[in-house]
Amino acid sequence: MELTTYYYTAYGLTLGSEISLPPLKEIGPGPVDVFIRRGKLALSPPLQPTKIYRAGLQAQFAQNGTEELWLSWAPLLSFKIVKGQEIIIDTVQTDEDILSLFTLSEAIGLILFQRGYFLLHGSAIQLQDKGVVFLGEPGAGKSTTVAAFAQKGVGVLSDDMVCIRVSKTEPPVVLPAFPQIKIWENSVHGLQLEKSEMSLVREGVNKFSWHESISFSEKPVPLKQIFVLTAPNELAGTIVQVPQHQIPIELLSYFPLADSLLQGKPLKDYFEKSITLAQTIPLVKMSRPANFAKLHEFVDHLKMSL
Amino acid sequence: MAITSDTKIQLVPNQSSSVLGKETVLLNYELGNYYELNEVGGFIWSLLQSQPVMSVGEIQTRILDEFDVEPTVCHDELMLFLDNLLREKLIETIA
Repeated sequence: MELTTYYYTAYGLTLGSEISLPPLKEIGPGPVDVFIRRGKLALSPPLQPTKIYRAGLQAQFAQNGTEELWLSWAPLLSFKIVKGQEIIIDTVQTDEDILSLFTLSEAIGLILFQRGYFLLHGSAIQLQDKGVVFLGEPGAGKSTTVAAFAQKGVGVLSDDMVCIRVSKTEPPVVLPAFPQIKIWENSVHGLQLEKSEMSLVREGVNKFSWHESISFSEKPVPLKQIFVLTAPNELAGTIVQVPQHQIPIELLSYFPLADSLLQGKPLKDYFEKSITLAQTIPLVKMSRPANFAKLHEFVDHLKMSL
Repeated sequence: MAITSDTKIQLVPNQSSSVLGKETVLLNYELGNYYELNEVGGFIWSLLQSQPVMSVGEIQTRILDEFDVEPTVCHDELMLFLDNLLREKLIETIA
């Protein structure tokens, strides 16, 4: 069987892949940072359930230090993620959309974790030259908020998983993921987006992918502000600054991968990066705008004020 | 073992801490426990960071120099605080 290698960029990395990953941007052949291939996985250490769910499946996880990680979405597919360089996929699935969905979420997140990046479950945009991150519980409106910005021509950095480079010497930057926003049908209608520009995703009923016509930033962008979106309440639109000393623990609750990764030395590294962020980046809580008109007002306001 | 004024103490190695605003946040990363110390607690923590081994009596003297507090109150509060740090395995006593 002849294998084609596809070349892509995502999260500032070049990827070589035996499987087609349609949401990613294809580039010319060249050296790669990460290789994605099919393979039969030998036995892993015992798998443990995680808090991570996708397409109705619960992920299971095992690790050998942080260099070898196993992520199982049984019975659909399993991954082994090695040294920040290789993703091995064990599956009989051939559906590109399903393979993309699972490869470009937690599996690539584990590669980024191995490479020392700071990850958050959230979405991010580029306003002028500043990165703005939106965090929140599932359903808080992160993707809808990003879609509302994209609709006004604002560049999207990532949807679902935000990757931040934190160092002691340089200001934190957000790495652009790939050009895709996934939103529920009622947000497509509420924002009055063109449904013809979207495709259905397999992740859930009535969830749509918007990718071809969004503006996507390709360069890392300095992080300026983090918002935590909460359910709408009577204080809608008001903004509460989270005290600096509470920021690390707040960020910890948005760690997008298996919690068991954060023990010992990796936990120390994560804690120290969250301290660096707390020292330089404001984190504010804001109740989500109560309706689509208010959301558009918020978009216009932030575009003017940041 | 009970702590007295002569007991020498030091920080455990498996911790990381930082001052954020007026609070000190600290993590015992082997046990996965996270703490916040107020201003006085943070002051004591910073003493133990700057001088690896200190006796309880030395710490008390430094607190009385820095804060306006009755010596007996200071003593009782300090003992309680150090007892908590000991129980949480954030400091250890040296024989």
